[in-house]
Amino acid sequence: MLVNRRSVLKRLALVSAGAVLLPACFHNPAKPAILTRNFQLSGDQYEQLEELTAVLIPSGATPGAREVSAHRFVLKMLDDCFSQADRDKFLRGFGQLDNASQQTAGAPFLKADATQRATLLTALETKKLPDQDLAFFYATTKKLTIQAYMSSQYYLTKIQVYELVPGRWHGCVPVKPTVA
Amino acid sequence: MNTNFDVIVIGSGMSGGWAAKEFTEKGFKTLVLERGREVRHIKDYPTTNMMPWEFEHRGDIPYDIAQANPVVSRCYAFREDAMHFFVKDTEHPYVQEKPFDWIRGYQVGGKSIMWARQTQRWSDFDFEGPARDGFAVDWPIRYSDLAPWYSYVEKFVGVSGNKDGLPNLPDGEFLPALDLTCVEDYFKDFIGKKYKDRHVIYGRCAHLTQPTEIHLQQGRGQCQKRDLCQRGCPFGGYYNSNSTTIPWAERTGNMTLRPFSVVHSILYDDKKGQATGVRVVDANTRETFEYTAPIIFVNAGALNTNLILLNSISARFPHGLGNDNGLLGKYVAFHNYRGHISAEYHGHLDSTTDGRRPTGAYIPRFRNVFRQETDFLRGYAAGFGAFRGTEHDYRGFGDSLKKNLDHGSLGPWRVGSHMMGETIPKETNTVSLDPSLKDAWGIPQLKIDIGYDDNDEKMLKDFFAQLTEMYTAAGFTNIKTGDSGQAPGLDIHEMGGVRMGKDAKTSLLNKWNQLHACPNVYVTDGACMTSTSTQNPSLTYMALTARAVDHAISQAHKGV
Repeated sequence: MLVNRRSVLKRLALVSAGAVLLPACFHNPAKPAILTRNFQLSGDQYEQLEELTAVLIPSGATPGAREVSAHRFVLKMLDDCFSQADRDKFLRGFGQLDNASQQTAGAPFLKADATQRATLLTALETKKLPDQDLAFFYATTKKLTIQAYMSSQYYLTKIQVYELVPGRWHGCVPVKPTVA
Repeated sequence: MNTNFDVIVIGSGMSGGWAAKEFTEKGFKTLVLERGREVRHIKDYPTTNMMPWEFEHRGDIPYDIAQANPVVSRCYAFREDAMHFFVKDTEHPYVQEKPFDWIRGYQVGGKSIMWARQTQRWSDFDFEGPARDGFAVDWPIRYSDLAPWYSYVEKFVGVSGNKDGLPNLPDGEFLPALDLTCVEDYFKDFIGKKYKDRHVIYGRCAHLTQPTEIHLQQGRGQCQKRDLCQRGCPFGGYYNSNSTTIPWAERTGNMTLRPFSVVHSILYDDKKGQATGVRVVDANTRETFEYTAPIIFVNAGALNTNLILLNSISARFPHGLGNDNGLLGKYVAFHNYRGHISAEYHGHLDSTTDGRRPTGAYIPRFRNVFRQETDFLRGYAAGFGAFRGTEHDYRGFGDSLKKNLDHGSLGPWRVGSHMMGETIPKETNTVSLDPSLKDAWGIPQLKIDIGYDDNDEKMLKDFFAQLTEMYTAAGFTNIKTGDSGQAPGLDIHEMGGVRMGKDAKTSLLNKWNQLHACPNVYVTDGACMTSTSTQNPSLTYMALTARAVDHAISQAHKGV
């Protein structure tokens, strides 16, 4: 019951805050909305960002960027922890994503299949694309996606377990053999 | 409400908490004035049990806050999990004649909530420094005056350490030390053999590694190695006022704690020839109140203590309380934290660490200790740490990246040190009242004019040279030195301005921390420091406070 009441309150807060509601939630009402104060994504950028993070850290047998909502973390950080200049640079670079995808893989990003997306990301990784804004957008998205993944509840409870209360300290112990 | 007390203590932090505890325990009705809000132990540590993923910016400070508050944003502990304990620049402006990062915590407990918990004793090599090397003035006390009070404080606070037998860093009343890491131990042995006068030890620190009866009585428990101390500890595993001295004082029934009380000035009665009380501005309502007491302890934090005394004007003291010689606010000093060094070590790769440790290794001052040996005065202590962690390959994308993120590999040992340099108090390093600018409570803003000097620059170079030599000899590689270029103040070890001394002509306080010219006012926080030495100063403030309270009580019983 408490949970329901909380989510109602949250929704009320969303409405009353009067901030920008990202367009993705209109495209796909099932997707959770996020509020941004300092910028507005255009068209299908919310979906593009989610897909891009999923290419970086794919789902599979285990959760990936999509399951930890890495794209939402990217947007949160972009909104709150970046200067306006860096935010503008990021958004200009983001605006180049479809062009770059078209140019390297022959299709806009959301229409590109897995192989084409890999072609685009290989070009971005190897810095084959000269646009500095695009490079900044990609590097920033990748860094924040990795941060979101590695600081997620999933990662810190299932992969590298974070202990709030270790209760112990041993200054010199043998390295455990790694399990393959 | 009663406005007359036996004692007024201004400030509830590291030293004010001790004054409150000592007086109330001995039956003195004590008013503790705190300019900030109440912070109750555990209840008011809102982030203490949060998981990393529960911080919406994963620890980062939002850009707008960092931009609006550049000074506090430079503090290493001003992060998403502890930012609520720090004063924002915008709320409490001050005037910087030269860059000075004044880091403050306005709340019950003050900065004792977020301190780094290092508690090294001073020795006579520190107390005799000014006299031997000809700077500042001679300290009116020696180690033997303070030693029993160090012990007294350590037992109550709980200090973890080893008995290292070093004359320049006396042993104390220690709870067990935590392990050094394999490479810290290796470096300790190596340095001990290579140099007869250089040592690497486990830094003494205010953690309950093994609580004793007195700590259990305080309601505190064993340190759980969370290493999240700056959030406030739900176990009371480290010492702060909030978990220890303040509740202890409260339980006596003799303490009145008044938060949101900005002390405007200390009142002086020309006829009686003594201070009679304090004027307080309520931080919220801006109403003014006066409280009276025959004994006043000023523990507002070093620079704010200067401010209050400077603002305490009377016919007898037109230039600030006790300021007959014009030296109030002068000879302010700090610790030089600019230098750091890092390296790698590729030995002991079959070993690592387990758990977390909120403490560290320490290199006591080795320069100019037993004799003058360099072209600069005094020296520096240094921290030391050696850890290895899981490292990841972040290249690429897709399944290969994910695999690398899920499976890191143990990196080499990463080692590092930072310097804690003694700075020489100088008349030109001053704080004063701005003649026109006032804060939101109508109190003059503090004007800070403090800088580095040539001695500091030489010492920085020596730190780089000596640590590089020690690291190189120990087989550390990829050695990198760095000068943070940080302004004074960011060390959060500002001291002086109301220095102790033997002579009323050249100092403000006598050997009992009483103002020479107004002996019912005691100053026992960092403002009283005649010189800075290299040790983290809080332990010394606490010991000086307990000693001064004992003196004040003995005087009161004598009817002085």
